[in-house]
Amino acid sequence: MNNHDIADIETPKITFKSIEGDQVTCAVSPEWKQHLVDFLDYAQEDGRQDVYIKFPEYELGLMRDDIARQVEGSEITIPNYYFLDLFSIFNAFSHLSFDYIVENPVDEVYDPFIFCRLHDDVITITNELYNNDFIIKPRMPALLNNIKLEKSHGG
Amino acid sequence: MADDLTVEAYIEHITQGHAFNKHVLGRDKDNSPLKGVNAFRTDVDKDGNMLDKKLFPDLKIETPDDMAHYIQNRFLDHPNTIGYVSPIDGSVNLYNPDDNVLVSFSPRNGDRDLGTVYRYADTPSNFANDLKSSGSRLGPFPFQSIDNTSPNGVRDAVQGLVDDINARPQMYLRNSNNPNSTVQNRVLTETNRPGRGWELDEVARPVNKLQFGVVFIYIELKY
Repeated sequence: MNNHDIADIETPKITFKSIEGDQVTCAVSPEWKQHLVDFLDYAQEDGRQDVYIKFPEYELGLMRDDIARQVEGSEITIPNYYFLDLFSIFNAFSHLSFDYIVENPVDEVYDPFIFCRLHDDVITITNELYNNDFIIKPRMPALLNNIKLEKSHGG
Repeated sequence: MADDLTVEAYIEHITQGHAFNKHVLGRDKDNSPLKGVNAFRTDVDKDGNMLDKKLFPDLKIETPDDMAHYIQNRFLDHPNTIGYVSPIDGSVNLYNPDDNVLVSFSPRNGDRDLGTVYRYADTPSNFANDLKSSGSRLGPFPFQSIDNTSPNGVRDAVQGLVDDINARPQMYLRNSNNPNSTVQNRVLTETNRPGRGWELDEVARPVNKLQFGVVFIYIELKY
């Protein structure tokens, strides 16, 4: 599970570039756009009860397909409210731990590195766009701290 | 043809769904801190860590009936219960900070239970985030704040949703290609309540309710 370059994964993968009207353009590689699509698939399957309570299935599917259509190239342009919706989906997972499950992940389905990186990037951009000071902790620091602890214990 | 939906029937439906299995029986995800514990009674999480009693007061909920009674008799009318109507799907989402309990009535979301009841340690911030994001989100439904500053404000909001479901059942179809997939049919028909007729429902005729210190003992006679 831990096949990631730590220095690389510490670097944000989705970054805000510009906004025109309600359309937000972000820099993001095809690989990480695919990770975002895969996350939305994961949310539709494994997160069904957590996510659908707050977010209807058809809305999630529309957003997923819209992102999947733009998977090529180094940018993505999506409506600004998609970030509110992505934020809400990550918020639905807020009670679940993805932070210390590196070598022996509790959630076998989802790579915690990718989850935590996407989580933190979406939170950062949502707060930039809406200046709303949402109360949700970034996950990367806890994940990285736990990797260091594992290494210091010879894990 | 199902009867009209009622708030009581809707609450009972939610409390017999995943809300009970997941949050009372503890059939939560492996990476949930409350897997294996009753979130409405427990003092400790799955790792044995003490939970904050302000966030986890003992609500003595052990059964779906207990949960339904709690919502009907305390949650909806509690002066500190607040909430909002989601602009995305018109769902009514309510939170009580005294009990740290969230109740959601979400008939359009694709989930068979049509809502949930839960509480975690982060539910206060989780609800605050959803409130903020919903307030910023434009959608087909007008965002609306809900509270009990006016009498029955919360109850009226839930009743309003139920009234709309009864007035426009085709707007709440679970499957847009099936005109019979109404909320009423999901909640009220015998098909979805195997072995149980509505007239025998124990929530409609509570059996374990404490009143004036007297325990009513229920004996079901079958002929």
